Amino acid sequence: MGVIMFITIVRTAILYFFVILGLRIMGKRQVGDMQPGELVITILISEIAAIPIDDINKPVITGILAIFTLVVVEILISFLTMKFINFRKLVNGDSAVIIKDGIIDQKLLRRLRITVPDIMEVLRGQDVFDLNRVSYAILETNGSLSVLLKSPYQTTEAKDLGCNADSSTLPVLVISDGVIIKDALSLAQTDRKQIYSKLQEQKLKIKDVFIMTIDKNGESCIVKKDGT
Amino acid sequence: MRRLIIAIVIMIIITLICCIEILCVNNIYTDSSEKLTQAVTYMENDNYTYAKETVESLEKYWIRVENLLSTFVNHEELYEIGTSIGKLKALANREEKDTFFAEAIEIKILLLHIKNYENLNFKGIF
Repeated sequence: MGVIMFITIVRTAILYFFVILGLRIMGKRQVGDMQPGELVITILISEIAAIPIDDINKPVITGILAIFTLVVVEILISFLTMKFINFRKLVNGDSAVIIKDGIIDQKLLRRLRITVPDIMEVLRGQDVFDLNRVSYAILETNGSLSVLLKSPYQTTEAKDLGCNADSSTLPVLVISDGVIIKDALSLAQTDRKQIYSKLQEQKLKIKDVFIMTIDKNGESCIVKKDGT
Repeated sequence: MRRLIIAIVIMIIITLICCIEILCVNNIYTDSSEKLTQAVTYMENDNYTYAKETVESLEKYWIRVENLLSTFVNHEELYEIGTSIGKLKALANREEKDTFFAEAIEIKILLLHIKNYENLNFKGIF
């Protein structure tokens, strides 16, 4: 019995490694951004990985081969959807304009089998409570709803106020849990010397820092480790 | 483009593994069947000593190839064949011809089942 448990543990670790590898090769996005085909592949991979774990009589390689076959299929389909618009429409469908100038396309809603309460719920989730404020609402192929408000109701931008806002700078994480992230230094247009001098101002060492971000203007944010 | 190349490489590796598996299974089936047929022939001719030796040789061969086969084939099926070969050896030692032949046929069917199951065919796909 102990051997079977050990085999199960080893198989689980092996399949976990190969599932992660497969997902990394596919370059998966977050669940919310997935196209229908991608979601299907992800679910299938998890189901297939469970089979050799559950039944130790089945060879592990059958699970691994099935997982990588799905990875290959997914990559090929992604490539084809990228190259051929019609194929993309066939696999992923098309975006649909559900609301135009505050008017819901009822025929389209029926065709897509979406109810009005569904639409209202999604709009409320985007802080839109009045249909009259909506210029366009587009149902995307991944099921999300993109909303463009009418001009009077859109968020004011700096240029609307005639303000000359400075171009925004990107704070870059340069220290994480006491370790300098070397690749981030060039992105932040800084170097170790500058980081050390910033830390010295607060009498800190690198190992005392939990998080440090810095932007190209030299503005930094330092979070010390607990107990420091 | 890079991912497409990776996908093609993976596809080639998968195809190679499947081809190697089919070749392995077919070779093992051929060798095992030959030894089995030989053992049955010796038994039919009342040549019990050679029959026992052939069955022992088959048993050693099976122990050797079982580890390789277990990478591709369901372990339960391999275990059944291993058990049957063990029974065959005992029957050969006791010189029980009728039961020996029945057991040999069973082993042949099990081997053929594995060979057909692992080979690419319409029935296997659907």
